[in-house]
Amino acid sequence: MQTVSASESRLRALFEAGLAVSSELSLDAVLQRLVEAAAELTGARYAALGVVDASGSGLERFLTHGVDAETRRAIGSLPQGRGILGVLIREAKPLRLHDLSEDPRSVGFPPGHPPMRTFLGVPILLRGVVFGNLYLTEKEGGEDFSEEDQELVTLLAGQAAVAIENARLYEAATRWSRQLESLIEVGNALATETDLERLLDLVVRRLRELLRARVVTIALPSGEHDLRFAAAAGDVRRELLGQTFSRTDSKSGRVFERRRSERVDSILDDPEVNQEVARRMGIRTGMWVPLAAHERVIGVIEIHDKEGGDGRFSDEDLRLAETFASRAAVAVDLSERVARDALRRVVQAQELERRRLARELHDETGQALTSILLGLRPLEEALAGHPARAALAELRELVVTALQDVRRLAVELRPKVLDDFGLVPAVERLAETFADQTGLRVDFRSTLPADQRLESEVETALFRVVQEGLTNVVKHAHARSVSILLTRKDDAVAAVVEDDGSGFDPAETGDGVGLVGMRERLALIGGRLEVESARGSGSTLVAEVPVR
Amino acid sequence: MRHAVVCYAVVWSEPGGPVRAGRLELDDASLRLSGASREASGDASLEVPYEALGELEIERRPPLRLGGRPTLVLTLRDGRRICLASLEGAGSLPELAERLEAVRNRTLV
Repeated sequence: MQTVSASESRLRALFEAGLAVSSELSLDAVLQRLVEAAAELTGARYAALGVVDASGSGLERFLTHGVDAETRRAIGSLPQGRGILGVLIREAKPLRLHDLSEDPRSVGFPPGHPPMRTFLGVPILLRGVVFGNLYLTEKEGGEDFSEEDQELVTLLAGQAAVAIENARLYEAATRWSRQLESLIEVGNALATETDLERLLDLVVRRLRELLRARVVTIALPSGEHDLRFAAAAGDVRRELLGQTFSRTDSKSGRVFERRRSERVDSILDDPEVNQEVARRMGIRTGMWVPLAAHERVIGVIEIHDKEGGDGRFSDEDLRLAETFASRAAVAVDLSERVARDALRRVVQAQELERRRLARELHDETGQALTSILLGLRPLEEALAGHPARAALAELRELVVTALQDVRRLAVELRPKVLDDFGLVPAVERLAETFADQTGLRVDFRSTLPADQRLESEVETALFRVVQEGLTNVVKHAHARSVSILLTRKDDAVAAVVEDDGSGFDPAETGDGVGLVGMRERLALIGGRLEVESARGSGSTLVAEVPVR
Repeated sequence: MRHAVVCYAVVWSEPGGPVRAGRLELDDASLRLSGASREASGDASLEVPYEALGELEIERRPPLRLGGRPTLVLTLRDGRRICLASLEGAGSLPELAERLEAVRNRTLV
């Protein structure tokens, strides 16, 4: 009867343990019930369950039975997987011992640990994967743990494995669900948001939440040589926004050139990272992901310091960041296209208005003044010798200068020669006029045929760049001579303006307002602008536009 | 504290002197001309405090035009004259005249 009663109570304990796995929501609660059930079923004074973390190097959970809080505090740190517990993990087989201290593999107990002799340990194992171990000590009455005890505890360890795996699968599912939500949110923003600043801010904030990173930034190109922090999330936001830095002197710049993501587990050990900037930002680890759209790199995302642990990011984190980067790149590209289209419309409207004004001045105002001049002639003949003849001569002079000014204004607004004959004659005429007006020596040369016609947008853009370039020579260069060259370079047409003036340091001066305007104008038609200069060595401005 | 400087590309001369092409800067206290000339050796620069400005007049007649353009003739209180022509395009000379008139009038208050 006693045996039946003992069996019944064991069955009941097992049944309740099984129920716990299916009914408890909290993994800790389930594992605690299993630990207590194991102690009750085997008559052990002490029981413990440890769950190994994902890296396999430490415990993510450690639950006990029979050790009070004061004793736990006295023991201090958690088991490190050495000694008998390490044997359990490595060999993944149950182990029963009469006396722990007599086993040669034992490393002893830390100070404050209660003495323990009899031992039963089983790995928590599921489909060959070790999740941790469940072990018991000090069976009541000083007896050794039995074969039956081992079977019971193995059964409970199996239930613990199922519970742990379920919890991990649930956590992974929740994480993917959050990531998917974020990707959907970013995708929706793509469809509706064209404001670049708001888009980038959304990307850095969401990415920082998802990756649990301390700092996330996006850097976009600034001029030919630099990058600029265009968005930032984290505790360095205010300091960074708008700051520019050199591409050659930074990890972001290297990633921008190499067009490949990189993960750095220790910032201090990477010579490509600007250590001074890293110190100011207080960063230890990082991932750099290029923003690429239509095979063109348009920026770089930087992510630093994962919260918790040693701050390192995983392969999964890098994949998520790359997915986000691909969405962000589309957004940036779209926003830039929208801005370019808007600028193109403004420039086209501006040129159209200039053309109309020039025509109005030339055809209407100019014709009216010419008519006045013609009308003055009979008056001059009629008033020959009359005192009023002097006043009439003065009037003629006024009309002549007004006519000159009107014609000059019309040419400056939109030279008719550009529309009627093309780029080469228009720039040649511009060079002659510029020389007359400024007294500077101007050499003009063209390897393009004089009657070469290009698309109107291309001719206008290059003409305006030369016009602005010459104005800049006067304003900044203190030059005595300037040369203008129009030439073909592979699949492009180039305009080169070179002066013998004082030059400047592009790194110090950067892009002035005039240069920014030229760059933007050329970028609209797929062209680019390069400026070479050095103090005391003059300057060379090269505008290149691809042509079919 | 000096405010942002406004710049124009200009040609200028003093009567009888060479025509120079360069830069006109207007800051909060004075105007500064700096530039070069094919005729004269060396760069030239000239600074005129606003309180030294007297008459300002746009001149369209031939003797005082520069490079085929009307000029802004600055007559200083010491009698010197400087003729300026803007290379910045339509409307820039009247704009320059307005700016100089405004800063000159501030010094008269």
